[in-house]
Amino acid sequence: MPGNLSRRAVLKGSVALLIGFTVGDAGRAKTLASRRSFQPSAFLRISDDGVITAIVSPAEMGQGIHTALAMVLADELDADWAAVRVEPALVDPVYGNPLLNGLQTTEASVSMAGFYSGTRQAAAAARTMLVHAAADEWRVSPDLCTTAASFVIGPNGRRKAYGALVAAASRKKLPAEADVQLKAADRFTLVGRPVPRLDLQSQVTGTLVYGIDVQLPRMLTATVVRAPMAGATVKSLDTAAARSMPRVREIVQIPSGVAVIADDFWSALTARAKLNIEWDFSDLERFSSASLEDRHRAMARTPGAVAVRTGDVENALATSNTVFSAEYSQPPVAHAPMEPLNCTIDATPERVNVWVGSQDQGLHHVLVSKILGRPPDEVQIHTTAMGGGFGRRGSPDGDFVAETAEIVKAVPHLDAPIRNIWPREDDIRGGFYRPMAFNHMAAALDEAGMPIAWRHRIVARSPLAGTQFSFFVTDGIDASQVAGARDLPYGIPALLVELHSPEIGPTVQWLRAVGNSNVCFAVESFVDELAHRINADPLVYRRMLLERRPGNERLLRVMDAAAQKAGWGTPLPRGRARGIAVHDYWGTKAAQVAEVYIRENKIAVERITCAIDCGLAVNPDGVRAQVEGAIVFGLSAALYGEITFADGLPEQSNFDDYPVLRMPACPQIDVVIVEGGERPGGVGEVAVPHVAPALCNAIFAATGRRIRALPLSRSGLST
Amino acid sequence: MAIIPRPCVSRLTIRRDEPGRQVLEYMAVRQLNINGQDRTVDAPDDMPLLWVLRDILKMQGTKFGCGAGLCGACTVHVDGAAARSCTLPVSRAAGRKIRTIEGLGVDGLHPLQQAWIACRVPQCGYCQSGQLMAAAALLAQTPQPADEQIDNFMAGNLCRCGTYPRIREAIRMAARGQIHERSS
Repeated sequence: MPGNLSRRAVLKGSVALLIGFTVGDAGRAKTLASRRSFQPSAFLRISDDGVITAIVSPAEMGQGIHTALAMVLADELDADWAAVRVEPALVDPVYGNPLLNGLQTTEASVSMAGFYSGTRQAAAAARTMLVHAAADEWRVSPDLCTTAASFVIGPNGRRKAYGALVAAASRKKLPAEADVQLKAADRFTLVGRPVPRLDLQSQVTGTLVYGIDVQLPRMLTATVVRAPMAGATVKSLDTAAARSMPRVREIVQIPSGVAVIADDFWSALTARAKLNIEWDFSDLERFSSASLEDRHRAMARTPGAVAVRTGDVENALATSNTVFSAEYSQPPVAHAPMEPLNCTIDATPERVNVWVGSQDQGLHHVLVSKILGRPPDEVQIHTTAMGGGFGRRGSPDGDFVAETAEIVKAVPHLDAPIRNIWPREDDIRGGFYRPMAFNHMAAALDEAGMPIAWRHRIVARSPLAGTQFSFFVTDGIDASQVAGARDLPYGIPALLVELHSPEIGPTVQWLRAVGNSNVCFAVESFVDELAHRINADPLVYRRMLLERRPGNERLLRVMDAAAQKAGWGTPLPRGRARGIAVHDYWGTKAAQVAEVYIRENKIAVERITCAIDCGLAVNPDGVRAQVEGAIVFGLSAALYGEITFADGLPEQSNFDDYPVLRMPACPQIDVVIVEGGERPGGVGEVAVPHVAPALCNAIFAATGRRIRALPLSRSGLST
Repeated sequence: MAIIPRPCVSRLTIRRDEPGRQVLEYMAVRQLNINGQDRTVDAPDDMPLLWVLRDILKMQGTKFGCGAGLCGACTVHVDGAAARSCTLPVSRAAGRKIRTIEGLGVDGLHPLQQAWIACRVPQCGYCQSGQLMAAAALLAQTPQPADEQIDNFMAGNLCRCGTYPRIREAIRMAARGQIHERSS
């Protein structure tokens, strides 16, 4: 358990001389001045100049987790916030997330929930030791001492700065967990406040070092031509023209394709274009979007593996007077983080250092060790800042990291650090998409038009099976694909959820919100159609269904908060309408109202309002930012997101034919944070799923036109 | 098309660094004026300014996002106007005044950088160099832009984290000349 003050987690019990290694802005290695420091756990270090370093395990990819966990630490420690820095954790089992099977990985919006208690515990223990150290020196009882802003304050107003207590505190024994007292929530000075991000200054000055910015002496840059579709192999390779290009150092074949290594990226890229490669597709299935859709649709009309069964849905559907059914679908989409994938590895006889924007340090560490045949304790992963992740930087088999290790392995004679960069086209065309998903919904209705039986069949290739997250697949059911479906919040007496997980089509992966996007689109569109069937207000209809099941108070509260903020029910001019969607994402509840203006085939999304209950909002401005960002992300996919296939190959390659949301199409976004108690829940992905159904529900309300297949561009609608 | 003076020495180079391997390219030692400083650079004519900045001059503030002028992450100023450095061959940047994010703030932070901080704009931050350079070019040309002008000018700059609402707010704040912490 992280934060447990096990002896194993204590790195240094005595005064530590800390010598670190950092890649500076100028690209030259700098040695940190050696400092005496106090490091009672793996999660924090205090040096004798008063600097407090929060050592944070989850990766920072823009979601604000570094600042948020540093706030938790600093608050519990009673530290001066101005003295706090964050350092990404190195690889160690102590940094595993207990909510993710102990893996050192950043996924599923469980970073805060996974590390909140452990971080507080570590900080409180450190504070206790500092107090005891000061109390010893003053020969007073520790009970007479308090702490504030990096000072221990004793009776008679004596004060001693934490930095000055480093040596003495390091000599104290770690207190037992029972002897460590956590703050009462009403004494928080940082947690619950909209504290600005710690990296703001470096972000606006262009000095923050992302993976792609890492510069090492003698570094070479590689770029790889990969198989156009997974499983194709090199049939013939002619490198002559590429080799004659300037500044090319080497060209090698590696498992994932052919790598061109040059002095700089431009030279590698232009040389790569001169490679003559013939690919062998052998008996790979050359699917098209149409062929994939046909197969998904057909499967959705047949029974699948049962995820949940209550009551007798099949009987109700067979015997009921009124049955309503509908099919919903969404295509594959790409993550497309702004920073193209990249990884830099420097392998020397003594050590292997890896610099990468990693969402899965544990996996990347194992892969690099294995591929280079080096003992794990000689390999270190340095997690850099990253230009977005959305899941892609924690991919199955760590594809872009493993590939870089394979390049390094293939060119020992170059004896240089290797940086591997994927151009944008490689990213858009490179697979690992959010899977295509089809849904068949059917409900038996009573005389009042309320559902008494509900069957939801989902067809989607499993993104988790066979990966580091396969523990979420139980009895053949990929939990990520039925989340929100089998734990449907609506009070319906008979429920049947089935899943087909065909292994067809492109390679797939989890992508921000995973299967919740598909489930929420289907469920919230379907319930809306049921409401309109009987001319019921969609908000009222949902309230009735939610009230039928106990335990929905928090969901009802966010629904009403969103509706109120959005002005639900107040008149709108002609051509404008509102749509609503609600969803519970692993405990975090949210509701959204979309307001659109639509005229012929032009749609303007005017405003999206979101109410969220994430339990304790550690940094409310961070929560707001994540909701705003998730809405833009979800809207982008709903409006245009689509990877299409012909002959087994993706048809899109860059932001011209794979459009993403731009500022003119961005609505006004209003966020209401609803108080939800003392335990922090997940936030990063939570507000993605509601956008598509809220939008389609609004379009229906405005035009009577029901869209069941995403993206909207398929239906001829454009912004 | 303007004739751009080329203060440089061009040469056709034939390199023989390996037996039987002959490499032809147009290289030039040229002077680039970057953030008010003259820098001497030896780069092929067709290398985009982006990669001259990043890989030769080791200035990492200007970012690579798409390589096709579609995302705006590489935005710099050339003679005061916003330009996508990933599609600007370095031969066409010689003799012109280039400004990058590293030179945006002349005496401390530029008002836009201050506004970006006050409005807490960035999430991952990767697109923000380009966003700031584009916004600075906008305000230099249109000091009091209407909302629609902001949207249209900034349409060339993508943000996958979704910071557009805060970018709008920060540009408005900088245009008003009143930088203040946003209340949350």
